[in-house]
Amino acid sequence: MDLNKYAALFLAESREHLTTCNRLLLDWEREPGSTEAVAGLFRAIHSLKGMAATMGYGRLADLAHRTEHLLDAVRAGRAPAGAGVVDLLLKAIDALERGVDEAAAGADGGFDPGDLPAALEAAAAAAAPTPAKGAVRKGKKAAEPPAPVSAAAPLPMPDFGEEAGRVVRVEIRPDAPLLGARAHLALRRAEQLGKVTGVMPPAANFDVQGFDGRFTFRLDAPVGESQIIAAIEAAGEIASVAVDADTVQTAEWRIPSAAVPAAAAPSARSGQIRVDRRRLDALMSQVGELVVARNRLLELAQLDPGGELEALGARISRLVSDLQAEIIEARMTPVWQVFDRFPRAVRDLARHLGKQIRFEMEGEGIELDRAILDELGDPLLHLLRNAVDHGLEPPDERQRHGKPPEGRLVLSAAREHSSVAIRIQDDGRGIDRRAILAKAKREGVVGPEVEILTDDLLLKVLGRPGFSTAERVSSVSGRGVGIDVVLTKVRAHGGAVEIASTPGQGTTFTLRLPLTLAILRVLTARVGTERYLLPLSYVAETVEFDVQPRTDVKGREAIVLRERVIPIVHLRALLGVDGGEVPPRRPGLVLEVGDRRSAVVVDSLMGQQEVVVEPFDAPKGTAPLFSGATILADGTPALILDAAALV
Amino acid sequence: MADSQAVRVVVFQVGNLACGMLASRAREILAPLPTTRIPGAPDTVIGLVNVRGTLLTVVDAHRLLDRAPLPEHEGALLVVDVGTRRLGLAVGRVDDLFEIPAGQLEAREALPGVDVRLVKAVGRRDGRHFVVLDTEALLAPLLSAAAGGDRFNSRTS
Repeated sequence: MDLNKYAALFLAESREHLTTCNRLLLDWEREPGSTEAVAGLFRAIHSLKGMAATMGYGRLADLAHRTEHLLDAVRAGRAPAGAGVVDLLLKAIDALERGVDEAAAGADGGFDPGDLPAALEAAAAAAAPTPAKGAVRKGKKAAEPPAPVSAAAPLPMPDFGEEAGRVVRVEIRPDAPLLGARAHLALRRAEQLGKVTGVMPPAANFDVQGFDGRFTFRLDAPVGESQIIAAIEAAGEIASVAVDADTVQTAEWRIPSAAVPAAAAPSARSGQIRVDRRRLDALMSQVGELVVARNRLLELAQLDPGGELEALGARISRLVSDLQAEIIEARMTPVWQVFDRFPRAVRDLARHLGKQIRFEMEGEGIELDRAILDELGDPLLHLLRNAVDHGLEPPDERQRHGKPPEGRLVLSAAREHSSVAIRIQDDGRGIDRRAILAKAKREGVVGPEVEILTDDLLLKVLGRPGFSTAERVSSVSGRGVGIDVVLTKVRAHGGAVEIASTPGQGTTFTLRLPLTLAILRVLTARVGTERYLLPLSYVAETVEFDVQPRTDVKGREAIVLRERVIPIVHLRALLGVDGGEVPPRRPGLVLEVGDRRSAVVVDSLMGQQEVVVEPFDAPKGTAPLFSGATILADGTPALILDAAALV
Repeated sequence: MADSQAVRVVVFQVGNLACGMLASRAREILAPLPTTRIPGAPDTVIGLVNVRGTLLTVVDAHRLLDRAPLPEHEGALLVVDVGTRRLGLAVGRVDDLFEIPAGQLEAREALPGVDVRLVKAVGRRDGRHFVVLDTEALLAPLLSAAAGGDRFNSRTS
């Protein structure tokens, strides 16, 4: 067996455990009396240790063991979480993270935890009460049986001695990590004793979804029962080993097999399976091609109304849509997978800057396309850092302004229509619009006639590349540094950014993102001889433009729709389209992004379709109005308009 | 460059000019494809084309070199690598693809009517001169300096 193939799995699971550790440590720091946090930490580190040992990463396992030991001592001694212990544990988690990465990259031997092991030992000795041994043991037994050796006695089994060798039945602890790897390891131990035959389920199935950790085999070895048991138990995480087991009983264990549906498998783990993201991406892109082909098929089918092709086209169309929906669903990932690393980062930065911050997260269960989520980590971290660094005031300043010394920072996710809104909200000093405006005027970003920066204008100013990277404005009012990077990233995924800031009360950034980016429902609009696509999720309604009552708002043309004034955008003029006759009755598309609206006037509408968003190299000077491009059913490229840029 | 080295060169027409480029930078030669205009892009950019499912921005060599543009559907499309990016270059007729000893390319000799900064070298074939274009110098200025390489992103301001 090659353990290397488990490296990716090991990496993923270990990181999850370590992220959990970070979260729990912060909980613990907040509530030093909490025993839940310590118990959770212990479990996570214990699992990590088990996995590292299974994989043969000795150094990593050792560090995990020492960390576990300290936790055990703290738990048994009921010692409160002194800042020293939490800091030390955070350091240990950092080192473990490094170790996990290095080990998975094949360099466990090079992993050097420095003086951490000694520090952990010393802290463990200090945390535990004097009669440490007994208390530690007791504490350990209560929640978690000791890892390496199982005390479970073998059941007496009838002797089925006719065939060569003895029947051995092994049961891995069902909650053991890397169940399959552990089973392989146990089998390998048995092979060192003698000849192994008749493995059931076959060893190849250990890695299959639904394998519950139980297997039998026949072992022909010149050793006694106790030796066999000892050897196999040395593999670790063994719940029980029975020698001379009844083979008949094994029949019920033959369930694990690729052919058996997950629902039929008895294991609690069977409902889930890890899939390499690249596979999902490949599937997604193939479905994308399929969608394009389907659109073409539907076009051809229209040439023969009522024909067989039309019926078949409709059927295929439905199947493709279902398939697409399934794959998008499979790619959906809860935001906590990215959010989880933030509490630690916020805490560290707040400490570094001497600020008191209560960081809260909401809506962590909201799901987004994995591809979007992966790109979101850095922009969000950036905004959070800005909030901690520039938005939230130091405790004394807050108190001077009659605020509680502890600043509040909230990161939330919420479903809104067909998009997800992610908000970063602080109750800090707010953005100093006067300072930003003055600087913007000096740099010629806005004209001298501008008197106040509205939220929209503020975002435009802050979103300019390089704006406020210099000077003090960023430290006075914050928020400038790198907002352009955030804007770029979010818009590149068809999203939009909004800002709201009130002096003395704080600032809120809202990132609006589509649920999925690979496939977009669009409305095709014709302007002159050109076609442009608009994401349907931002189209609130379509109206007949030329019959609408019009008005003027600050020199800008607008329509009045149900007593609401909506500014008009003439796409023809905006995109510099000439040619083609302007039809007398044109449709207007009312776009809605957040609470901003506009009516986009086009020549005509050509219907809805699903398109696959493709990247393109925008040459210099390209109008900043597009979020991407696509290839239409007839093979020609078309540009996708960015709704946020039009309102 | 040592004499013993040979360079592969694609030679093509741009207006009345015989041009060449290093074949190592040219991915393929295609017939003209239907193009979608990119609003706001400079005149030298023709638009987007679909090359077997991949979008490619096409630049007109004629306008870059101050030659009269060709009528639509004429000429050829060279797929050119510029750094890590890939662009289409609309040229006139593609004449030849051959190896030439590096020694026979003379560095940066100006020909009348061509910006010397866009010329990598001048070569000679069958008694006729051709300029080997510096495709980086020619095309890189058109690409937005999208830091981080967000190809989606069309926002440059």
